[in-house]
Amino acid sequence: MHELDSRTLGPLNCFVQKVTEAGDFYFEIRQSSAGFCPVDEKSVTRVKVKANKADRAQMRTAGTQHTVPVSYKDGVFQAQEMPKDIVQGDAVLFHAAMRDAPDFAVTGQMGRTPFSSTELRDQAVFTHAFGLPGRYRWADANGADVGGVIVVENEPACGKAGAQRALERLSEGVLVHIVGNKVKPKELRITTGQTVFFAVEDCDGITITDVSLLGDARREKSAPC
Amino acid sequence: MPDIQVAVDEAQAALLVSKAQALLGTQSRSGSGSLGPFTANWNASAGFSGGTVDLRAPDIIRIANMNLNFTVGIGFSLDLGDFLPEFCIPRICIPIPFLPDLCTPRICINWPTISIGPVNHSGTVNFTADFRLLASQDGSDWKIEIQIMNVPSLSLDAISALIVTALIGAISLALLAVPFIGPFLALAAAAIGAVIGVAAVTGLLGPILSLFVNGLSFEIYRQPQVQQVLSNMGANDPAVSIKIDTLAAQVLISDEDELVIDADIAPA
Repeated sequence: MHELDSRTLGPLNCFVQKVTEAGDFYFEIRQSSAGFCPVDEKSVTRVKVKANKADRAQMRTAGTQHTVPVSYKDGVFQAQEMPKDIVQGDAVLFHAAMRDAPDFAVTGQMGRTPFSSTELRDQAVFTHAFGLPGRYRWADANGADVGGVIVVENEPACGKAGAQRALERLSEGVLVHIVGNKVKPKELRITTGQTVFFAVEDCDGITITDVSLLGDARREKSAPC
Repeated sequence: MPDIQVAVDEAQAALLVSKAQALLGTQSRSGSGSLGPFTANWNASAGFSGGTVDLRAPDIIRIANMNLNFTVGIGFSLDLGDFLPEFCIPRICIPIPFLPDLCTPRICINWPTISIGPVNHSGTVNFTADFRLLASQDGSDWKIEIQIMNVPSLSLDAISALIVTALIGAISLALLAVPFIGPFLALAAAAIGAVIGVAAVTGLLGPILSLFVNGLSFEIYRQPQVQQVLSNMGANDPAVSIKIDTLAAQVLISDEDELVIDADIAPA
């Protein structure tokens, strides 16, 4: 649950996909271990996306956020509160509605463009709340030359004021912007409990994975920091 | 008048006791018990040594300041949800290059149940107790034991205080590995420490150590019932054996206190 790995979405994660194409938007939510399997047409949820007449530049910084809580019952994941009116340029955020549910993955297609929480491509966001201090070196499990470091440090929580300050810090999110193989910032310092938003553009399906979870070959190949 | 009478003074009786303590060795037990509001699993081993022997008529050996040398390991599970308020990461909104503000939902997590220990502690408790002399047959042997007459009260507060310190240390270490505990670390440590005090540890440790003391007995003397007193000297001079028919032990007080063993014998 607390591991940094965008291939699995747990209670501390969100996955966001900007809907860049009009037409058919469908997705399947399943166990994270099945994330790379083809979509099962019988299990998908479909929504029609209305075309947006605004130009690309306007669409880039606009859009409504639709939040989809994901529940789990009797071995099946289900999207609760499915949005009905999605317009091209909107964003869909998936998150676990239940604290004790298994990790999951979201895979689907918008128009002719596939998307997946297990392979972040374009205008996708993966969020992770860091609960323990440490130095987290991350890389792409699929082998792309992209990676970075998140340094998580405890903020002293001395007394009531200290504890209050530490709790306030939890609402301060931090951005890591990844475009192709460019990561900004490459090294980031945050306080224990803060959430990092990994915003991905123009990538060929990458993951944000703690290198300690990767095999030896991948660990050596990960971007030096 | 017994056929054979053996007497030892207090110094020699002390040697018998010392050998018997060594013979008993270290015993081990395990179980579970209450540690404040928790159920703790424990394992313990104990042995005995030292003490001053005082012979008392008619059949009592008082051992003063005997050492109960023990090692105890205590472990338990702790549901942090019982001590900490519900924790939620609040809704977070930040601007994204290709979106307006992106907002995550409020995320609430369950505090885990953590395992503590086993925390090991070795120590010595001093106690004084009276033991009664008991002679009995054990298979083909006669034996004399001294058996504790009542379980003494053990003074454990000082030892319990040390164990409390060790437990709090183990709890603090375990808490550090709990995600998001940071702002609540001091609160958790204080709340848990408040329920694991000297009284709670003594409440667990007392019954554990009493198990080793309850019914405690030391074997101070053992002899075969049948003994050869003369070896075979030839066809016309066979070996001669005797049989101990009865054996008894008592304490006689005179100008010198003595532990006396009386035996009646007959040809075997």
